[in-house]
Order: sequence, then C-alpha cells, then structure tokens
Amino acid sequence: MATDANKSIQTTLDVLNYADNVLLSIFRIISAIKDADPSMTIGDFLEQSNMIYAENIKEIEEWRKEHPGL
Amino acid sequence: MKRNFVMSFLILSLVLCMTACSDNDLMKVSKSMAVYGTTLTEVQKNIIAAEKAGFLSVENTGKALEICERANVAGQQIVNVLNAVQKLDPDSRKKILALLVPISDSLDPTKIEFVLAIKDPVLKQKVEGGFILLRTTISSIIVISQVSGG
Repeated sequence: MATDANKSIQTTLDVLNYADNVLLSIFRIISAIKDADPSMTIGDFLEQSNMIYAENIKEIEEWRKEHPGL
Repeated sequence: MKRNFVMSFLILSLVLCMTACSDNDLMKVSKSMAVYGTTLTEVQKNIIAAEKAGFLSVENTGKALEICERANVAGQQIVNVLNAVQKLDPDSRKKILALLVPISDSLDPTKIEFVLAIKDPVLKQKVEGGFILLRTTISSIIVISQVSGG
C-alpha cells in the first residue's frame, strides 16, 4: 500500500518536473519573441538566426576538439 | 506518449499564436527560424552538460551532437532559401519542407537511443523536452509553409 503511494507520488513529481522543464523552455522562447525589437525586419531575424546556427556549429566543433577520435 | 503529444500540441498552439501577430508568412517563418536556433542552442547545452556531468557517454554525446549539427545546417540552408525570396512562393515552400521534414523525423526523442541512455532523470527530461520543443517549432514552420501554400 505504502509502496503504491510512493510510486504515485514519484510519478506525480516526475510529471511536474517534466512540465516545469518544458514550461521553462516555452517561457524562454516567448521571452525571446517578446523581447525582439518590434522594428526588426525579416532580414534582421534571418541574420540573427544565421548567427545562432554558426555559434551552435562552432560549439559542437569545440566539443569535438576536446574529444578527438570521435 | 500521450503526455508528450498533449504537450507538443500546447506548445504548437502557443508558437502559432505568437507568430500569428506578424503580417505575413515570410515574417512568421523568419521569426520561427530564430526560435528554432535558440531552442537548438538549449538542447545542445543540455546534452553537453549531461556529458560533462557523467550522465551521458562521450559516444552518445557525439551521436546527439551530430543530429544537432544536421539540424543547424538545415537551419542555415533554410535561411539561405528565405534570404533569396521576397515572399514565400510555392517553390520556396517546397524547398523549406524538403529540408525540415527529415530533420523533424530525426529529432523524435522517443526514438533516439542516446536520450533514453541519459542516466539523470532531470537532465533526461530537459533534453527530451528540448527535442519536443524543437519538433514543435519545426511543426509550426511546416504548418505555416503548408497552410498558405499554392
């Protein structure tokens, strides 16, 4: 009985934790959109995107340098 | 699975609502591409953090980052497509869909073995949530590209 209750509590905590992480990510994304300068043009968004992708790829390459042989 | 689906649906609705404020499809997709990039940054950081904390093997991290790299390259290619047009025409929509659909398939967290291998439940949920968010952002771009197409 106690084991069932513990399992149930654990499942609830897992779900809440999961929802918390997802909501945090949603919040970050909404903030990113909301904080965007309203005068930003399509070109600005595309330039910003390109910079993000380039940074991301650079980060991956740096990680690979730290782990040669992969 | 059901929980993931409901969560994805909610996120998709939110992303669509947020992007619906802009005046045309090209603006919506451009904004979404920035969101997609930011989400990818989050996912990568969580994966690298998982490896550094010892919750993910170097081999699995390499596989995970390979998928992220492909997603980033696809993002760059889509931006190139968008940079070359003044508005989304059927041809550019087709190109965007051709780049996004395979990426979306490769980001399904329930099918990616390295996500399942993350030992820490919190980090696992973060990475899983990031991938779900990423797929949802892609889905919103796919929806925008399809809805007004033609």
